[in-house]
Amino acid sequence: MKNRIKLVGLVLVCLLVLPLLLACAKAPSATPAATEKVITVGYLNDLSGAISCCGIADQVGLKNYLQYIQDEKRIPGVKFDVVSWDDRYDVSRVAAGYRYLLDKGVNLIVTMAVHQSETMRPMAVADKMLILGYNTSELNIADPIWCFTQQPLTENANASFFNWVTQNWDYQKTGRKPVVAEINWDNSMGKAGAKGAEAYCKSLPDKLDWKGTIVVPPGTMDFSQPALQLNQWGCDYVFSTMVNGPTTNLMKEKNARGYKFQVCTGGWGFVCFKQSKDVGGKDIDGLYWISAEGWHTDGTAGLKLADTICRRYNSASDIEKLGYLENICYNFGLVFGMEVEFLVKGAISAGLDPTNSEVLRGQATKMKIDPQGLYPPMTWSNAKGSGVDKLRMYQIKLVNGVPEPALITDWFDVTKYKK
Amino acid sequence: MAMIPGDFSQSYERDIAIFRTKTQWVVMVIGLAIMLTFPLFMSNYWLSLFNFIFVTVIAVLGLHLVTGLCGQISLGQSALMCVGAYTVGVLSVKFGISVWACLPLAGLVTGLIGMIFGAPALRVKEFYLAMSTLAAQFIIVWVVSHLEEWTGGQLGMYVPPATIGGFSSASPSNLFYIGFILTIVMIAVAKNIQRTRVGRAFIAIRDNDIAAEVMGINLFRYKLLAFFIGCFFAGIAGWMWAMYLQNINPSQFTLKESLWMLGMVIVGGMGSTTGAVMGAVFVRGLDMIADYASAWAGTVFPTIGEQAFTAFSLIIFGLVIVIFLIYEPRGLYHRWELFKASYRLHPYAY
Amino acid sequence: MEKSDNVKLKIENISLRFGGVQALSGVSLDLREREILGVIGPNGAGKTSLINSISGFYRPQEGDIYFEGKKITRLAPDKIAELGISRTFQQIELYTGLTALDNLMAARHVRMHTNFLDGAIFLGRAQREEVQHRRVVEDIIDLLEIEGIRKKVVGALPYGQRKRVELGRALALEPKLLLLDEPMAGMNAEEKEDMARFILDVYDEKNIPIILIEHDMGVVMDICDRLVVLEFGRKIAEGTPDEIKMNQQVVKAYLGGD
Repeated sequence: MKNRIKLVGLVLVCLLVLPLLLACAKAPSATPAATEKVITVGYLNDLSGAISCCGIADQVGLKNYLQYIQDEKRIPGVKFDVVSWDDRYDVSRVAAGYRYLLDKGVNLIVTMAVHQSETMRPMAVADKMLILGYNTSELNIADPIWCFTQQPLTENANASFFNWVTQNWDYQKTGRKPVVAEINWDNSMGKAGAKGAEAYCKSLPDKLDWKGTIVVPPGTMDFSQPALQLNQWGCDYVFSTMVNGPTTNLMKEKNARGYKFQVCTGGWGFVCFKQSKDVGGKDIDGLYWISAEGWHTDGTAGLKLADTICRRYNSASDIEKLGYLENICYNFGLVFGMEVEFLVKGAISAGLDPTNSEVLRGQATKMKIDPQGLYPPMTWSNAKGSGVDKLRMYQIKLVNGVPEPALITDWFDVTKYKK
Repeated sequence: MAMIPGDFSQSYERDIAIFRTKTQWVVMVIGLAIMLTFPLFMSNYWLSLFNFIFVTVIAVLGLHLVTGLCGQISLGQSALMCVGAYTVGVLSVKFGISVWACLPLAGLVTGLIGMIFGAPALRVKEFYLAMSTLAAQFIIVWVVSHLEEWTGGQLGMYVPPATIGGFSSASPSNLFYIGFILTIVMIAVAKNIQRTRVGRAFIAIRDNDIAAEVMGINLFRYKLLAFFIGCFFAGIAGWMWAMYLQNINPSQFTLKESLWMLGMVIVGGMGSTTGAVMGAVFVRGLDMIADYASAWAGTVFPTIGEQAFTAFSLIIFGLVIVIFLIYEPRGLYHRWELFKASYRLHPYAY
Repeated sequence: MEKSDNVKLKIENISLRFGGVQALSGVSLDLREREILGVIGPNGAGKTSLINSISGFYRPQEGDIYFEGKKITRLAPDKIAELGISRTFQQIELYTGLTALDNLMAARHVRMHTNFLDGAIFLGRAQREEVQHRRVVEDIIDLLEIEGIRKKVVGALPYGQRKRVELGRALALEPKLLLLDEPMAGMNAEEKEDMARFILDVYDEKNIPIILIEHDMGVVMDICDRLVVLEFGRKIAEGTPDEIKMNQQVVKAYLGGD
């Protein structure tokens, strides 16, 4: 008897919930016309783990830009589809995710962190699958290249930051060298960052007072000891080669204790703009955006486009909720969209099949953004897939609630300090 | 026609066999033969998933021997897999040793290192031992990431695939065959150890170490042996992992994985080989179902958003396991035994 | 049967202390090749300590124990088991997760010789050994009449049957000396009778001496050839059951008479 009551109750609940769910449901979209080519973009990133604030914004940016291409008919006869895989910031899920995406028939894969593209690389080489990443390591862009990235090598980016310090430090007024250090999680990104910072700073002993790197175990969120150490060293600038969570905590720690050093981090560090802002209050000067030669040269126009597209495809509440506009990763998603646009356009104009990953890879080796685009002109120098040699740096500030990048250091040739 | 009510063994050989009847043999052979045809029609995704499950099953079997049979809690299985994976990486890349030859070497090296971390088992038990094996998890990963000359440190290293002639483990279908054979062999080894002298000694130590010692079992030797065998399995799993990813990095071997492996042993049912295999397949399978369910839910309910479902799938995943453990604390294997018993008695419900 | 006077186990003057507690002080006794020796005494008299000292579980600070002329005082318990001294426990100490059969097989450990590699391969040496030792174990199962519970997990068995399985496990070691620590504790009269019968059967069939600790005087007087009485860790009397019955000191200290 009791069981029957339970059963009836369960059925009733189901009956009540079902219409609710159906109301949320949308009819599946119509199948594309036979003449349309469908490019399936695989998106493998963290959507529910440690860097999900970045992964989600990035995914939305990519989807928005691909929608924008379609709506503006920038590539006639081509339709885009995005298939996602959530790796939960867990390396063991990347390989399965790669296979999942291939199973769904993707033509190329967009991803973000180094460990993701590194893990996929051996398989991608075997399967001839193009991978677009956000940042990279030296191992990853060794021949044969199948992974292409937006950003310079982490080590070069770090070097370019310290280059900015040397350019902007007032040696005469202070009468001393700036005291600098670097802090990182003990993982591949951190290692590369520390390497770059150390090599650069040690190459300029008369310009920088290099104190060294602080390496903390991956997953560290408590920075009381490292911050104390940095303060005892008397640091002026500390570069954080960590993802947004720990960097934000470091800034919180520093602000709470009133330490004087400035924490800076770069775009490749997956910094969520909003979080940094929350921590820093009115000053958000902790965030820098370092970009490779040929990329994002006109940052202001890029951000304006981001703003337009974001408002067009997202409700005001969504923008507010996820802080898209303030989340630099949204822009990375847009750039991924642009890369895809460039590759597909190039393939079509060359009379090749844009659904063939090998063709797309061929296009990627001569990547140059469309002159009509807002990020002109974009090149992938030396076909290494990374545009690693020359860097520019922007500082991003909110002007009337809109993020504006300000160019703070112009072309810096990293090959000079590396011999 | 006379029907024999039940199944009676007529020799001790038959009584101690794993498969006691012809029917069981036939069912098993057919089952394995069907699995061998998977690469003919399955996509690379599914094969890759199977390969991942093979890695997990082998590692969990090792943990089953240490924890499930011998009762020594180990929280470092994933780190020991790291030792196995890096043994293959270093030996094949730096010393040019054939990847195939690295398979037993990975097992041996990992087994020996496992014995070092298992040595405190002589003096400490249960939670204290868990602490010392936890140290293994951190020390091993730290050492591997700082032996940069050899391992490439945090930047990881690429491992060449195992090849014979034109056969290369780089393709998921080929790796499926390798993993399949390895897994079957390792299951057989685990089961055989469990049902013979050494396995009974392990269980004796788990169930009553005082009695075990008085009944002639050298506790220290057998605890160490348990760690050696369990870690040997971890080493083999590490080899398979290196073949699976071909790119190894210390950050792949996390404490979380070690804990999940322990969870798989528990979900499967402590102390049963079949249970360990079931636990590994169940947890990995559930994980996969959660992925598919959230992707599906994302397309059906776009207004809620895919991200919400991916986050939700983790909660459901955890919830299913918690509910499962509340209602079946003795594990999947127990459930399976109940099912078999009820099937045997069918249609008599007693 | 003619009784042999050869000494199987010789305990010389052993003393055992736990901190300030003197568990045994200067206890000596000889066990002959063919006898059931009963050890009696009030609670806390040191009976179990004596057995624990023989099986190597405790290490007496003074005195020595010789088994078949070999000194075993400092040996580890597993080595003593290998020499052929087997025992049961006052509180049942079975391998609760194993079946009755496997409990007995586990006790064959010291008589088996395959290593884990043979075990892993199974076919060949390990299988032959399993079958060979299974035969031995099945004989013990027959002897103790536990055929019906062979494949039952012992954790779920009733008390009396667990006691019987434990006796079986002690026998499976193929002992040359059997130590029984209160094998009838907590049993009803009928079960006690059964157990006493099993002990006598074992004694007759296996030809081994037995040291028996028991509280039930009736049983002890019936089945033991000789008795040793302990009080506060000291041996106060030794002799045949009839002699002990007459011993004034024992009667006073233990049997509660006056």
